[in-house]
Amino acid sequence: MELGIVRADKPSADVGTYEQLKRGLFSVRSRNIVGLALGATVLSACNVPTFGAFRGATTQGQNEFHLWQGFLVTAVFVAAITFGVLFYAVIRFRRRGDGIPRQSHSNVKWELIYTIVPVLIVIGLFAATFVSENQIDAVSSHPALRVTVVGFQWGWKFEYPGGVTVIPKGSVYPTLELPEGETTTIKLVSTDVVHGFYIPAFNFSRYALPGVTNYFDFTPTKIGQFSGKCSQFCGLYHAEMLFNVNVVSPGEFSSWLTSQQQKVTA
Amino acid sequence: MTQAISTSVEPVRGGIRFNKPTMLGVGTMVWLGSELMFFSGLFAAYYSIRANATGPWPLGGIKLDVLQSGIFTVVLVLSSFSMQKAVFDLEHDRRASARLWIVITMVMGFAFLGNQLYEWTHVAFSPSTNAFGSLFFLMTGLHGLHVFLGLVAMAFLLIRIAGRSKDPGLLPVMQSISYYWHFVDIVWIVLYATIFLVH
Amino acid sequence: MTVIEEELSTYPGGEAHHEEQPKGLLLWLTSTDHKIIGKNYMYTSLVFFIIAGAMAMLIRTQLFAPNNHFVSPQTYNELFTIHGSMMLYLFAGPFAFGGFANYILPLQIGAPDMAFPRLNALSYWLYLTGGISMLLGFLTASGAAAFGWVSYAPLSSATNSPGAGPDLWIVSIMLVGFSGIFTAVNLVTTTIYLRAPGMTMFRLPIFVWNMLVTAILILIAFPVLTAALIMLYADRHLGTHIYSVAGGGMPVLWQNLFWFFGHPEVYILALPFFGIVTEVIPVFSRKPVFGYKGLVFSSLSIAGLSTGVWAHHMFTTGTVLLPFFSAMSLLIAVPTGIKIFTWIGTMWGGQVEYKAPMLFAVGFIVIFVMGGITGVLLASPPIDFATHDTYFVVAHFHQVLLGTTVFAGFAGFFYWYPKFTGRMYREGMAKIQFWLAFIGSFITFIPQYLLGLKGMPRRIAEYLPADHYTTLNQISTIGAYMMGLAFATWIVNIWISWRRPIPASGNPWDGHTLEWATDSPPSHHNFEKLPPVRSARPVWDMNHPEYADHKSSHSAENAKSEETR
Repeated sequence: MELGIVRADKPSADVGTYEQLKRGLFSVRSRNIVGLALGATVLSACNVPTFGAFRGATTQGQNEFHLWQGFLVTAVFVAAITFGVLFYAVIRFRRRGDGIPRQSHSNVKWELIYTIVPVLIVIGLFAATFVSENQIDAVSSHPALRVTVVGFQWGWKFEYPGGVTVIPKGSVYPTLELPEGETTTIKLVSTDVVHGFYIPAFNFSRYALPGVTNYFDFTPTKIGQFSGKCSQFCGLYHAEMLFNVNVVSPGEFSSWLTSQQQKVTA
Repeated sequence: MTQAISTSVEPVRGGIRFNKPTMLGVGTMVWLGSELMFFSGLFAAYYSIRANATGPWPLGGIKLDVLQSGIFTVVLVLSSFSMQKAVFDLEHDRRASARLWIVITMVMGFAFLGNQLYEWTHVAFSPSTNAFGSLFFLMTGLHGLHVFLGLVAMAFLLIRIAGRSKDPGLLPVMQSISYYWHFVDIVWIVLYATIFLVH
Repeated sequence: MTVIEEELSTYPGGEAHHEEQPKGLLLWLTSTDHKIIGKNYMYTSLVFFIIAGAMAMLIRTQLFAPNNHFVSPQTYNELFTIHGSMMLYLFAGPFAFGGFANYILPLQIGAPDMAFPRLNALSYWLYLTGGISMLLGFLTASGAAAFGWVSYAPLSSATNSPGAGPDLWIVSIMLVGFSGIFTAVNLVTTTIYLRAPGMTMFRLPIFVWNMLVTAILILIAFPVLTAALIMLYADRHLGTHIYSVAGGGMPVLWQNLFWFFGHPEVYILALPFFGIVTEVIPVFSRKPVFGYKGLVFSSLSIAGLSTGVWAHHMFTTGTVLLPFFSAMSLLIAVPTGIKIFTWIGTMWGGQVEYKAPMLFAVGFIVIFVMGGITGVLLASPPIDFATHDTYFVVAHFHQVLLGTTVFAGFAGFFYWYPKFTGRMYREGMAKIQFWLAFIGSFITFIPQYLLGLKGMPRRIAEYLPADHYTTLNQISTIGAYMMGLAFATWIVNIWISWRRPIPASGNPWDGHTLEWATDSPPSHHNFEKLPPVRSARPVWDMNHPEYADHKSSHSAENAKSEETR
């Protein structure tokens, strides 16, 4: 009767039984099987097109990107077969006269094939998903930085250590500063309604839910400016609930943070 | 299943059958399936909020009179038996007796509702006190509404029994109301256990 | 119609309990005839379809340019909320389940009417009242509901969405829900009790099977939504704390309850249309359904799985068991895939004729396969993290829902149009409508997939020039206008058929199932005489005795095994 809810009021790494279950399921042997599926995916990363998606500017986002590529290759393969068979039937069997065709009702062999093959594909996709989602969802116990993100109608507040707070000022959207190559744990909350903390270039979004605290990690791999948005509809000015992400070198980041902390104490 | 269903191919409209459910009976049972899901939704809300609660349950140190509600739970359970007695009577065309037992059922039903009303006005919390208060009033209220609608249906049933003597539609209606009444009764037992006993 | 007189059995029941009917408007208002109620449902739902479609045109116009002020953000939010609510609650479900099922199901099983005709009429009036309530929201001071068709708590609370518009929305959905539940009770009881002699469960047309499964899903899903809506209403007006953090309630509870309804709802919308397509394809291929039992099994397993996949809408809440819901959601692709291959298998080796119904059916398969495959991507939580609540999702579910409710829906509409009206539609115009809608749908939704991948969130009233969404949005809007044109063509087609009728015979398509064994439109009590039912295709057996199903070895075995059981 719990509606499948796992309470997320602490980092998921601490949710004991579930973690043990994951580890138990993913013993060395099953890892090898999955490795095959994943191996093909990862190897293909250089040659396979992006299919319109972001490559991911964090290690977590890149992980998702490779999974995306694997899924898309499978999707193209499945679509090609399905459409091939369909269009062949559409053209080949169009009506040519008044004859009555053979009244075939079923063909057990083919029915088994088109049941079992999709099941196998699904098992492969699930295995790849399972590995990827555990890595993306993992929360470091010793991150380099902890930032609290607060969603409210209609803006974002970023809270850094030492009382440094960034909020929207007038028509200027707030900027989330992150150090490149280091892991930042984000603590995400909402003060009013449900918001969606979404950074397209990071291939990641998470709800800011009232009454629930969410934790997740970013490890940026690219220096640069990225745009952030609210993805979950949150009322009148949902479209204007924007923010920026600025990934800088760790040195630049710490000098920025120090200068901000001095402003707070001053 | 195929066989059981396909034996009844000819339309039966209001025909009395003792050995298998009538069309109205089947319809009622199918509908009660949806009622079951309705109460499941409420129970899902109750247990989710309870699992999410920090601190002791019920919230805010609320105390309920387990004994008094328990007595009226017994009354409601007994009313299911009196209702079934009325069904048996009508199946054997003992109309006077059937009417008597329906009246007894209704008296017990109203007693249950009366107690419900007493509780609502005498508990030390309201729907807006906290989530437990909200759930208490919503769940007992929605169940009470079902009890009340059952009593209204029985009132119409009494009028219909007093009507013409050859009424092929009467028994299916009687049976269907009894299915409903038993269902409402069972829901209450689970509801009582959930709200009053399991803390 | 070639009918072998001595093979027809007289029709049981029917005449006895139908009296003289009133005429004209009074007939439409008071009738308990399933055919009239079915038509009422169909016309009403198509009116809602046109209104909601017009709203889609306004939405697409607003998104044509960055920072556009064609409508205000408040109006935009109302438009997409009511567009979605109307399409899902007032068009897609009632069109198939109230319209087609009501009209066709009793005919296909050889019944004189539904099990509870008056309850059936009540369903329709509840539905109409609910639909009007939703539209009335636009006339209130605060405007219509503006929290999306999913109405997430606490955005839907009294503080965040004050006014009568949201209340009307809640009442509207409740009324439509009751209407659906009563229709479901009626359809299940009718299918159990009123089948013609010889119509065993495994001789039911797949359309009937799918409606039966849909009815069961409605009975499972809608009551939970009703409970959730009652609690929402209480939170808004009685001061309860079910969905508010303040009093110990849970906002995320709404999402769980809503999606426990909402995902089965997707299949409640899809399965009836799968049933329609499964009627159309065999008739226009001159073959029986390929893999009948596989289709029944796949419908049942879709229903079973659909009650365990709701939280795939909630992957990004961080509060659900990802592996379980991901596995269940991926798995549901298997029975859906089975259906697609049985449809292709039905065409295989056949004599396929591309009249409008068949054209729409094939168009449905193409669009649905695309929408289905992108759905499999979204069943993977990491990919969902990247695309959740973006236009990628918008494109996915529009392809799925447009493919089923509109393409399969119009396949059914044109297929049974002669049966409903006794008239033919204009084939050429129907084909123009198909190609405009088919090509238009790709021009609309392929750019939306790309917009989603570029990070455009759904439900935003405006975007910035710097986002570089402009070109793709403009292409998408042009596609949407093309689809608008397609449905204008359809209205003209129906108008011509009304003004200059071409009469249709009882069985213009060489149909397979019992509805083609009676006049077009059928008389008040449906059948004069009923052909014997010895297979799933009684009318085909009657018209093509040398190819009759019950004479082929395969179904002979079936018949034998059924007798010995």
